[in-house]
Amino acid sequence: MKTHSRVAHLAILLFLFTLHVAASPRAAGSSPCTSANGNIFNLEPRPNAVTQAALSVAFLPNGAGAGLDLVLATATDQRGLSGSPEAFYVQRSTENCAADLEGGLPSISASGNVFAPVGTPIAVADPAHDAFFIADLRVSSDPDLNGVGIVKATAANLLNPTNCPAGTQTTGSAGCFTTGSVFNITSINNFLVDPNLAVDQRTSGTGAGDVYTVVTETLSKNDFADTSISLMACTNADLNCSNNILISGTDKEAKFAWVQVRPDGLITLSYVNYNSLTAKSEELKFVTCTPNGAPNAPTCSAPVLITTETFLRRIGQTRLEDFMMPKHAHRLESNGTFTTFLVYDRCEVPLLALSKADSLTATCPKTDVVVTSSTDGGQTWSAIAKVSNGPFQQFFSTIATDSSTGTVNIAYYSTENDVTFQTRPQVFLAQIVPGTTSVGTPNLLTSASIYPNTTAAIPTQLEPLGLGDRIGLAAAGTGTAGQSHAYVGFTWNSVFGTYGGTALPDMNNHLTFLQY
Amino acid sequence: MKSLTTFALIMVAHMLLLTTASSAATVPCSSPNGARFNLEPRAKALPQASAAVDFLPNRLGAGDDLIVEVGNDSRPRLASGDGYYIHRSSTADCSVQFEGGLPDFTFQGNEVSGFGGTTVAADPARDAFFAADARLGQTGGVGLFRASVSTLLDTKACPNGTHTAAKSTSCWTVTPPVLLFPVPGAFAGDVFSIAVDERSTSDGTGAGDVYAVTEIADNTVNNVSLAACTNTLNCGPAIVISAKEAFQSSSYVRVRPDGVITVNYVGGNASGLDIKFVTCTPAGAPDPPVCTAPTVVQKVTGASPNPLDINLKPFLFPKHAIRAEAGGKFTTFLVYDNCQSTFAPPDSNAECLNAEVLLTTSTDNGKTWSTPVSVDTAAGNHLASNITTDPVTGKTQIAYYSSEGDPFQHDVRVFSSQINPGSTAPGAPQMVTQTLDPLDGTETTLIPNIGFIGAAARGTSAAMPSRLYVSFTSSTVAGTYEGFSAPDLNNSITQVSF
Repeated sequence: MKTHSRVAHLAILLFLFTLHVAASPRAAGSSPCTSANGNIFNLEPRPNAVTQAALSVAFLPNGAGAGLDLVLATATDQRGLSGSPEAFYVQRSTENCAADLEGGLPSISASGNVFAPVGTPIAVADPAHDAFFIADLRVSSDPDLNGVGIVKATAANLLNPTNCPAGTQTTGSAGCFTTGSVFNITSINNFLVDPNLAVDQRTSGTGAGDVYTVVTETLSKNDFADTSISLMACTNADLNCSNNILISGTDKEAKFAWVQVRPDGLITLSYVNYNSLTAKSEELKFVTCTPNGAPNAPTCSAPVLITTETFLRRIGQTRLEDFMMPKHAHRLESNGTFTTFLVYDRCEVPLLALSKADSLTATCPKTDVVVTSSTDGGQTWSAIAKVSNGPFQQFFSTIATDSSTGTVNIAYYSTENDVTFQTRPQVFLAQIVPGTTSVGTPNLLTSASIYPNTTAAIPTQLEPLGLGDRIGLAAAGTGTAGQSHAYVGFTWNSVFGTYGGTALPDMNNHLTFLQY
Repeated sequence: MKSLTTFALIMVAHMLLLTTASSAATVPCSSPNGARFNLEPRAKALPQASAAVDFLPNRLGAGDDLIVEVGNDSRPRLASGDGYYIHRSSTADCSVQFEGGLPDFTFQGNEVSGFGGTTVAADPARDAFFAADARLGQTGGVGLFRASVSTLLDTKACPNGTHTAAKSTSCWTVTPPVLLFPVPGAFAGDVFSIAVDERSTSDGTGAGDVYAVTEIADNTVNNVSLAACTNTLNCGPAIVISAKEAFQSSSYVRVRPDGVITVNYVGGNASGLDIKFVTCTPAGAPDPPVCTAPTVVQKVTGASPNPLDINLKPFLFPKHAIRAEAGGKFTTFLVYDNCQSTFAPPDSNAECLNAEVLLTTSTDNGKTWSTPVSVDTAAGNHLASNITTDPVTGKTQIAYYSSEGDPFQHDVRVFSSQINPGSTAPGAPQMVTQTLDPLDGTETTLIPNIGFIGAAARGTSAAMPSRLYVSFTSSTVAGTYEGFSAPDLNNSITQVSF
C-alpha cells in the first residue's frame, strides 16, 4: 500500500513536471530549431555559396500533420533562382526547421505583360483558408513597368510532392503557387519598394478573407525622395484586386508601411514619414481603414501621429545599418476590445555629433527596441517603453500575436552579451502575456553569436549589407499551453560556404522557434 | 630595540604605500591587450591607428625606455592628423606624457600640412628621433622632422598633455623640418620610409645620415627615389634607384650596421609584380649615395588580390631587417604579406582567401634570396607583417596580426616570431595580445588605415634583456558616446622582453 502510494506520488510528480515542461517556454532542446544557431533554412550547396537574407516567415500550426508545422519563409537570395533575387523555403516533412523545398517565384502575366519577380517577397499564412500568400515587387519590360505581385499557395499544394517537388526549384515554382496577380502597375519611374501584406482571418463579414497589400511608391514627378504609401484589397480566392488608394495623406516621404488586419476586420497600417530636411523628424504614423469587401478598396482615416523620433542609421560602432520600420500587432481582449502593440528601433540618444554625423552615416551609440500600445484603435498611444534593458545594441525588431493564446511576441537581435566589442548579435524573443501590456523577460533563442560584418566571398549586385534589414516572425498555436510556436527567420553566418576549398562565412536565412 | 622595530615597520609601510601609489599610476606595457598609447579622453573618442614605433632603451632610467609612436589621429583639434605619442616619464611603463599632431611648416614661403603616412626612427648614437609624414600645400612632398631627446624631455618645449599647434611646433621644429621629394600640390606617392645610419658619427662616411625613400608618380615620371640628409636635416637631391618598371610601390629603407643603405620596393610590369632590392654606398649627406641596379627578391605569384574585407587587408609592403654576422657579413631578412590562395568569383576581381606572412633571406647582400617560408602556418589570416633586428643580441623579431582562433577569420591578435642568431628559421609564433579584436568592425566613416603594425627591437647589452615594442591598432578600450560605452579604435603598444 505504502509502495503504491509512493508510485502514485511519483507518477503525479512526473505528470506535473511534464505539464510544467510543456507549459514553459523552450528555447533549448534537442530540436535543430532550438540549437545554438537555429537551423539553416535553405538548400544551397556550400561550394561558392552566396547570400541569403531572411525577410519573413509564416506557418500553419500542425499544417503538415500532427505535431508538424507547415512553414513557409522568404528571403533575399542571391542565387537568382528563377532569375530573381528572391526565394521561398518550405518545411513540410520534419519539425526540424530544415527546408524540404525551395525556389524562386513564378512570373505572372497581367495587362498583356509578363511580370518577373525582382525582390522583397513577404509571406503570410491564412489558417482560415489553409493557404499562404506572398507579395513581392514585379517588373516587366517593353514597356518598362513595375507593380506589386501576389501569389497564393494552398497548403495542399505545398504538401503535394508532385505539384511542389522536394529540392531546389529553379523554374519559378508555378506548381506550388497556382494563383497570381499583379496590381498597382505603374511606370518604372514611379518605383515601388517595400511591399507588405496581411489577410483578414475571418470567415464571415465584409472583407472576410480579403488580402491587403501596401507598398511605397516613389514620385518621380517631384523627386525620387518623395514617396507615398498605397493600399490595395484583393479577394482571397482569385486575387482580384482593387485600385490602390493613398493612405499616407500629405506626407512627402512616407515609407516602410506595415499592414495588419484586426480580428474584427479593421485594416490597420503603420509607417514612417521620413522628413529628410529636419534633424529630428522621423514621424511614426498610424492609419485605420474600414473594409468594403475586395475588390472594393477600403475606406481609410487620416494618418495619426504616434510619435516623432530622431534619425536612426548605423547601429553602434558596427557596420550594420538600421532604419525605423515600425511594426504592429493586435490582441483581442477578453472583453471584445483590442490592444494594438507597435514596436520599432530607435536611437536612445541623439546621433553622435562627430564629424561623421550626417544623416547617411551617423552612428547611434545605443539602439533600442521600444514598444508602445493603444487601446483606442490607434488614436492615442502609451508612453514608449524599452522591450529590453540589455546593454549595447538591440535592433531589427518585429512583432506577431499568437491569436490562439493572446501572447504577443517580439523578436530582435541584441549584442548585449558581447561585453567587449558589442558587435556579435544573438536572437532574442520577448513576450507580452495576455492581460498585460508590459514585456516579460526576453528569451535567448540563439546561444551562439556571430561576427556580422563579414563580406560575401562572392559579391553580388543586390546583396544586402550584413544581416539585411529585418527579422521574420510568426506565432500561432492551438490554444493549449506548450503547443504554440513563435518562429523567427533571421540572417546568420554560422554555416560557412567553401570557396576555392577554403571555408569562409556565408550569410544564410536561418530558422528557430520558441515553444510555449 | 622597540624603536628600531617601529622604524622598520614604518619604513616597510612607507615603501608599500609608494609601491601602491606607483602601481596605481602604472600603465603596463605587457598587459594582455597591450596599452592604449594616447591621451584622448574617452567621451566621444575618435579613431587612432598606429603606424610606427621606435624607442631608446633605458634612456629614462633602468628599464625605462623613451618611446615615440606615430599614427593616424582623427581628432580635428590636433595640428594635423599625423599623431605622435611619447612616453618620457620616470615610471617604466607605457604611459603617454604628451601627444599631438606634427605641425605645419614653411617650405619656400608657403605652409605645408601633414596628411598621413607618418613614420618614425630613433637615433641612439645622437640621442634623437626623426619623424616623417606626407605633406600638402602649394608644394607637397614628404616632411622630415628631427627632435633631440633633450627637446623631447624638455617640459617647456614639449609640455605634458595634448599639444596645440603651437606646442607641436615648439616640440618638433627646433631643428627646422624639411620637405623632401617636392611635387606640386600634395604628395601623391605611395608609402615612404626613413632610416638612420646609427653608427657613431666618427665611424665612417654616412654615419648619422638620414635616408628617405618613396615612390614618386605623376603624369611625367614614376620611380623610386632616395634622398640623403645629414643628421641635422641638410638634404641633398633625390636620386632614382628603380629600374624603369611600369610602376613602383611600397619602398622601404634600412641602413646596415656598416653604413650601406638597403632598399626594397615593389616594381610592376605586364608580367606581374616583383619585390626588388637595391644596395647603396653612402657618400656622406647631402651627397646622394651610389646605388646598384635592383635585383629581384621574389616574383609575387599571388598577384595583388582584392581584400576579402575592405578594412583589414593583406597589403604588399615588404620590409627587411639586417643582422650582422661574424666576419663582417650580413644576413638580410625580408617579410611580406602574401595571398596564399585567391578566389575569383564570376565577373568579379580575385579576392584573398587566406593571407600569410612570408620570410625570405639573403646572405649575399641581396643578390640571391632563399625560397620564402610561411612564418605562421596555423589556419587563419596572417598579415600586416613587420620585422626588426636588435643589433645588440642579433635576434630578429617579426610581428604581425593573426586571425588564428577566430572561426570567422576577422578578429585578430598580435603575434610575434623570433629568429635567433645563427639561424634563419622563424621561431614558433608567440601570441602577444590575448583578445581577438574585430578591428574592422568599428568606425566606418573615419576608418584610419589599420593595416600597419610598427615594430622596434633594441637592447643595451647582451647580458640584459632586450625589448621589442609593437605598435598596433586596437578596439579593446571603449569610448563613451552620449553616456554609452562603445568600442573605439586606438593606437596601442605592447612590449616583449627577449
